[in-house]
Amino acid sequence: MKLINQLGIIMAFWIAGDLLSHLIDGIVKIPSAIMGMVLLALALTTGLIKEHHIKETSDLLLNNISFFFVPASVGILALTGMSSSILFKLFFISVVSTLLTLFVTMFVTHFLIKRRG
Amino acid sequence: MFSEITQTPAFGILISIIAYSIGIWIKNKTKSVLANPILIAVIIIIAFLKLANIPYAHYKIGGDGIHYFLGPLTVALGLMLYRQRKIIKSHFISLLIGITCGVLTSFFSILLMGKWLGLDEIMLRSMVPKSITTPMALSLVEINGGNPVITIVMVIITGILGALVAPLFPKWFPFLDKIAVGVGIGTASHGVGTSKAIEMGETEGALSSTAIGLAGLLTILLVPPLFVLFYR
Repeated sequence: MKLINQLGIIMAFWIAGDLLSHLIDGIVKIPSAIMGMVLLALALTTGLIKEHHIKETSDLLLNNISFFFVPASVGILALTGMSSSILFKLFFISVVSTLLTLFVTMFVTHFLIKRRG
Repeated sequence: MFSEITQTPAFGILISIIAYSIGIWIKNKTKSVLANPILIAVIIIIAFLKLANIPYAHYKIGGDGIHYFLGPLTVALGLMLYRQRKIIKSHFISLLIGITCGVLTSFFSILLMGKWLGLDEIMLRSMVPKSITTPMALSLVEINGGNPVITIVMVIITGILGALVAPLFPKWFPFLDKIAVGVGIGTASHGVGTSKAIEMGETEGALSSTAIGLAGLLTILLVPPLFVLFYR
């Protein structure tokens, strides 16, 4: 029962996030689940709800996070018709962009932490 | 009769669980970052569907049942953010600027190289979320457009790459602060890179986990307007 109740609380945050993201749709587009995530983090920070109200169900989901992406990833079947030259380009961009992002983030953060003490 | 069995939700759910368990088993046996459980599970499922001549639509019936849990899963990431609140508070400005620079680097490097290589708009929209965690990347594709399947493939490749090359950075640049190394790994290569950061050290692991959520949020906020401004 505990897991189901906790799932209920999480779903309520998702719906609240959905409502809020529709309300501000004209100003900035934020996905409902992401808005739900922000609302949940805020509710925990302000003490509106406590960690133990959602802990077990959240950890069940978070500890098995990869599993939930399996069905979406099987959709890769749809890519089998893509040309190998496009696939090579995608791979090339991934490698260079990941290396650049690692490099820039590490050096900027390092510099800022050292300067600010 | 066989076709009736494969059209029950149980079929897609069951083979997903079996294939994923095999993936986890292989990962634990080999301890290699190349042994990504999602990748292994996907290869097993596709091979099985092809060999047994089962249509993808049958798999999808059960697969969708699992897929719907991505919503609550994304909401639950809020708990992860909450657990990192002390680190976020004490280095807030450094983290914010550092991660923003990483998010911009990722975006512009993909956009420039993609245009140079002649990729179309759908491809570019699918690629720009590649450094953030899968649920957030899929949320971004939902509002910004693109092909979610390409996004997932890019996210997986990026994670594996990040985990492979991340340990080289402190070796090449030994003066780098551990906090900065962790932030870089989480920003560039989400949870898969973070699994490596956790092995590298407690500070690297904690900061890398923190960076996943912040990088995801900043990417979702910045990418849609940047795309409008810089894609022509």
